[in-house]
Order: sequence, then C-alpha cells, then structure tokens
Amino acid sequence: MNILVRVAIVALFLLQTLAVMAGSSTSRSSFKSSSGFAARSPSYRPSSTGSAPAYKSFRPESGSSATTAGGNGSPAGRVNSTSPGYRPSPSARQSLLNNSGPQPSPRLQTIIREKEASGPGWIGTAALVWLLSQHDLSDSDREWINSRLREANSDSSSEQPAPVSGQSDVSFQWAIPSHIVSGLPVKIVVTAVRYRKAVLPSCELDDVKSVPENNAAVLNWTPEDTFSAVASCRAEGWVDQRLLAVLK
Amino acid sequence: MKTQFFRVLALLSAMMLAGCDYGDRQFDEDRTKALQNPDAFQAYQQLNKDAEKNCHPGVFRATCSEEVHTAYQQLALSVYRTALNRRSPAAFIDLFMRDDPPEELQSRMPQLAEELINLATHSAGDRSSARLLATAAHVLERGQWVQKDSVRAAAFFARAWLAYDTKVPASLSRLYSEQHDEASALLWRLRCIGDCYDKLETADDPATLSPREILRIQSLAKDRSIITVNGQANWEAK
Repeated sequence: MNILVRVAIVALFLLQTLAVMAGSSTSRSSFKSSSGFAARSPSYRPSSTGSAPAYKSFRPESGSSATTAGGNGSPAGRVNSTSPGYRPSPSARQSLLNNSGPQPSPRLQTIIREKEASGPGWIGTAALVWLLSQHDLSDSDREWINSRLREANSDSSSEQPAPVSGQSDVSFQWAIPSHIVSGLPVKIVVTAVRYRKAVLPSCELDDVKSVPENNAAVLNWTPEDTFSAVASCRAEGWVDQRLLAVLK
Repeated sequence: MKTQFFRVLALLSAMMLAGCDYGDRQFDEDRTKALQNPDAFQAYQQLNKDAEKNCHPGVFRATCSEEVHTAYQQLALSVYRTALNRRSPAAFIDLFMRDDPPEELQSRMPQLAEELINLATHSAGDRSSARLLATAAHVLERGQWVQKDSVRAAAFFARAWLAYDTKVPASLSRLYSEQHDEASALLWRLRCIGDCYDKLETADDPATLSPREILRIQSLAKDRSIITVNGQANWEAK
C-alpha cells in the first residue's frame, strides 16, 4: 500500500511539474506568436532581472542609452564660455586692435580685449557688427567700428587661404553674447567668408530667422523656458552650428 | 490503499486549481492598481513586473492560466498606448530605443516619431531632457521613421551633451565622420572622454588634416559652443 501511495505522489508531482513547464512553454510561445507586443515586453523574458526589451545598440553606443544623471563629463559649459582657465590669447594678427591707425576709446579697447579673450569665435566682421549693435557707443567709437568694417569688407588680404580639399571652404564667424539669460533679448551676429569673399549666411534659431545687416546675418532672439538652443547658419552649401546655453 | 491514492490525487489537483485561481485574483488586483496609476508608463513597467511575478513558472509555485497571460499582454499594450497618447517622454524613449517596435504600433511609427521630435524640440534642455533629446537625435540620424536630417540630429545631440549626456560626443563624431566632415568629427572625438572614450570607433586623427589644423581643432574643442568647425580650422593660417 505504501508503495502504491508513494508511486502516486511521485507521479502527481511529476504531472504537476510537467503541467507547469507546459504552461510556461505554451505561454511563452503564445506571446511570441501573438501580435508581438508583449512578446518583447521584459516581463515575459526568462530573465529574473526584469531586464529591458531589446533596445537599439547604436553604433557606437549612443548617449541616449546612457544614464544622464551624474555624468562625469560635466558639460557645464555655457555659451561661448570656455572651460575654466581657458582664455586663449588671440594672436596679434587676429585682434581688431592690431591696427596702426587710430584706436578706439580705452573703454571700447577693454571690451574688445575681453571679448577676444572669451573664445576663438569672437573675431572678424561678425564681432564688428556686434560691437556696432551696442547702444552706448560714442560717436568716435562708432566711426572707428564703421571704418574697420569697411576695411574688413574690402580687404581681401584678411581672408583665409583655400582649405584642405574636401573640407569646408566657408569660414563662419560668430559674435555671441557671453551670457544669455532667459527672458532677455540677445543679438547674435554671424558672418561668413569663402575664397576671400564675404558671403551672407542664412541663419535660424528655433522659430527665429536671421535678418541681413552689413553683410552679416543677425538673429534677434529671446530665450524662454529652455536651458539650451542651437543656432544653425547656412552659406554656400555648408552648415555651421553653435550651441547656446541659457542661464535661468 | 486505492482510497488513499485517490485522496492524494484529489488533494494535489485541488492545489493546482487553487494556483490558477490565485493567478486570476492577482491579475485583477494588478489591473486595478495599473488603471489607478496616473503615470501610465510607470503602470506599464509595474505590470511587466507583476506579470513576471504572477506568471513566471516554477516548481511548487502557482502559474497563471493562458487567459491570464493574454490578459496581462493586452492590458500592458493598452497602458503603453495610453502613455504614448499622454506624451510620456519615458514611453517615447522606450519605444524608439527598442530594436523593433511592437507590431501593433508599426503603422503609427512615423507619426510617433514626429511627436518625439516635437517633444524634444520643446523640452527644457535640462538633465531630465537628455535622453529624450538624444533619442530624437538618433531617430533623425537613422532616418527610419522620419526623413534623415543630420543638421537637426546634430542640434539635438549637442543639446543632450549640454544636458550631461557624456556619451554624445561619440555619436556626433560618428555623424560627422559619415558626412566626411573630418574636422568636426575630430572636434567631437576630442571631447569624447571618460566613459565616452570606449565608444569611439577610432581615436586616430584623420590623415586629411594638417598638423596645424589638428592643433587648431584641439583649441576649438575647448569652446563648448562650437558644434561644427568648417573653415575655422584654417583660421590662424590667415
């Protein structure tokens, strides 16, 4: 009797185990053969980790699959702000003040030196147009800027040589305020040069389109509800972009 | 002897049936919780965990019936759709980072991709937006569900980088490399440091650039506002 009972218990135990396994098998295959949604759902994978569905592995792995918090790359940069301590001193040839002719007022000279030290992009016609947009200029400073602007537009010697074959033959110069604050309007001036000739770029930033001004494209933009934006300019088929960080 | 055998048989059968009842009851509880959750994508994730717990087979453990499996599946899809309809960024990220979208949503993918891009465009650009921005960038870069647009993709990538997605430089380096814009590719390769570095396809400087250009690009890379190099690499050669 005992033997029969033991056999029955073992048989039923095996029966239950088989039933469970069969259930598992049918359920998995049913998800796979279903229209496909839950089959890809993490919970139906044998892994007990609640693993994620098969996600794209971009080539190389994209940032989007990375956790974003606590990144150690600390891209805390702000517009035109270079990394701390980075203050490239523009070469003498690049400076707007490198001119044997008349010089602007000491105040404007200080502004120019500060702006030129703020990054490699602040230079050339775009910088002059940006300076011209400042409202507190004296008449003599305004005239000095205009004369430099005329010089820049006519002086082909200041243009760059032909670039390496295959690389962009258009150079864009950007004049961007060093601080962009949410809710406050900013003026961004962009110029472009190709084979020693100024070309007028066409720019956009969110819904704002540029307006032409003295061979430059001017973007008048007021940032709102954002920490960042990208300005894109096109000239002669090339696209130049700048990342703008907005202070709240 | 026979009587005892049948008693044991009946007892074990009852245990199995009770297990199925438990699965049904548990599903009802899980469904109620999911439908009450105001965050539909969170409810979807919880449902997946619930289903695994309730339906995962095991010896001496209750498993749910085929009907309950199907019910979990259908409820998960319904909640997932709700999350997408409510413009949940997490749901959009989940959807577009899968290797393949659910078949039920295949026909809606182009429209959903547009909505993803719209969400990214209007995102604040803070840390919590980083993955959304990068996902939109990938969608625009790949061109599977919307027309490929490298310029917009680069803009989203750059914003994601500013929002502390440290692996973005590898993606931008690849994007420009595929466009044969070696100068901009090098610019982003230089910025690909730390956990990004291992994602680089190559760490070599391109042979098409001169030593002076390479040094110039190294200098430009420190200015975080610069996304593209264009003729700037030649600037000092004036």
